[in-house]
Amino acid sequence: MIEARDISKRYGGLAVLSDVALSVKAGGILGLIGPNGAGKSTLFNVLTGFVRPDAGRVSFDGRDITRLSPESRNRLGIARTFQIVKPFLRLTVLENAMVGGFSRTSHVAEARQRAREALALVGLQGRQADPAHTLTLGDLKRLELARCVATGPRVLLLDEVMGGLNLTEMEQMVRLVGGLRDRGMTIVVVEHIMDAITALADDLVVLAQGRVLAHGKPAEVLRDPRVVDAYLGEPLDAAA
Amino acid sequence: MSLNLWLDIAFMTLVWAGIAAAWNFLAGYAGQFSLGHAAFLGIGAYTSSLLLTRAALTPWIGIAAGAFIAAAVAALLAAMSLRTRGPFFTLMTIAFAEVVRILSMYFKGLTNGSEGVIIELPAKLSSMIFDGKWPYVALAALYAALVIGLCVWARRTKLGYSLLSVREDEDAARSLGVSSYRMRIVATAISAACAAVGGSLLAQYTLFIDPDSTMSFMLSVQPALITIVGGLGNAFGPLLGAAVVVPLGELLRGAFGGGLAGLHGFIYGVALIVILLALPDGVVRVFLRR
Repeated sequence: MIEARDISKRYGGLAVLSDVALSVKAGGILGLIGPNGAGKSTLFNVLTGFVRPDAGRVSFDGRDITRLSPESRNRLGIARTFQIVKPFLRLTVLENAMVGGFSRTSHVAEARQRAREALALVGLQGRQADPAHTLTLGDLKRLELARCVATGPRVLLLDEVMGGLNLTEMEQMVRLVGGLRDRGMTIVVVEHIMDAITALADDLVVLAQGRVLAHGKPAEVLRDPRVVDAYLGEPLDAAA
Repeated sequence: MSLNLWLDIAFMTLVWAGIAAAWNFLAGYAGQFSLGHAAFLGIGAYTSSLLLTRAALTPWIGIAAGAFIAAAVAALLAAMSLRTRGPFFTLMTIAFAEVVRILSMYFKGLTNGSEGVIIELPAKLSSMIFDGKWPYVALAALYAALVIGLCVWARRTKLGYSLLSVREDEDAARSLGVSSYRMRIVATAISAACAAVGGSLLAQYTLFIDPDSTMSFMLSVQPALITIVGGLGNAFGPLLGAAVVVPLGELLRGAFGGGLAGLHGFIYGVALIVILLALPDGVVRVFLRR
């Protein structure tokens, strides 16, 4: 569905991404992992239109979207969350989700309907009238997900949605993301928390120093000595 | 005090409520603070006045023409200011208003320069000139109601949600399909058009305009001051703010203006500081729960 080819991006003298290729197939969850500074966030921003690569090409359903703005990509069916949540703090929970709903319609009632459905999906239907600034981090992460869902995406890119969550919240989030896949969404997750990754990902891509180090099935990738060396430090039992 | 003075204050309060509401549409909803709205007042005042005195075109149409020109100029300004936000956008609006004011003095053939334009016509409905003050007050009330109504209505539409989302977090808004750049252009144009109508009404009331009376920097500060006193981002904030700020200024000038020079300005300033300290979210807070 989304395909990135030969992506390179430099900031000054620093090559953040070098000839990175990534292919996201329809349905399923692709995990993107790697040590800090590996270029995961930059690659995310390239896929969603917030960063324009120096070289390379991003396509969506065969269409070249390398030069499209984030808003245009969203209307094509690409939605994302942010590593550091970006809620509309002074709007209510429902209003936050409605902004997403308006991506697909100009009718207020329809946007509200889409927003309510998305909030129900993430379990925030009871907080609709509360201002977003009253929410906990776990709820804000779910709100951000609901906002994305309300835009009716076909591909969902999740940037560390587990970060900062407690164990219970994390289990809920894993179920939630798995549920979205079952509803037919294609999902890309950037994640540091290996339990979450192994529970969710159908395929894994490992990024290190701006290059793709390995890709394939999680069980194989996590046993790859280069991956162990560059990222995990020691073999991961859960992956065996 | 005479009835005429009260009507005068009522007219000014309502016109400024409308102008401040127009400013609030851009600052309160879209988060873009303009300190150049005097330029739009001036464009409105000059367009309708010149069309009336030179082309004998009724202000009822001239006002719409002024609003249209102001919207076009504002859209251009917003497009040129590209992605400047916050203080940078504010600085651009200050510079822009100054350019418009200087141009209005430079093109004497069109604008009479600093001599200004006098509207010398008999009172007539088609000229939007009236003998008494009541029709003006009614007109101003209609104007304020329309602009505030527009704000209330827009807040509930896709446009309102888009503007507020851009104000709150531009990146998040864009990731949800909101064209932040286009939204800011639209908001600036709407705000400018509404402000220009207010400028035309002021011109029809005083029947004399010059660059200083329509485009001085203080006229750019006034809508910001009124809105912040009343309540930024609330559709009724500008009305409440105008109801406090405008009568306060006029009455103080009436009471102390003849005595010690600058005393009324001093009291005015102190009074505003006290209000802002007591109600930092604006007078509108008194009427809201929580």
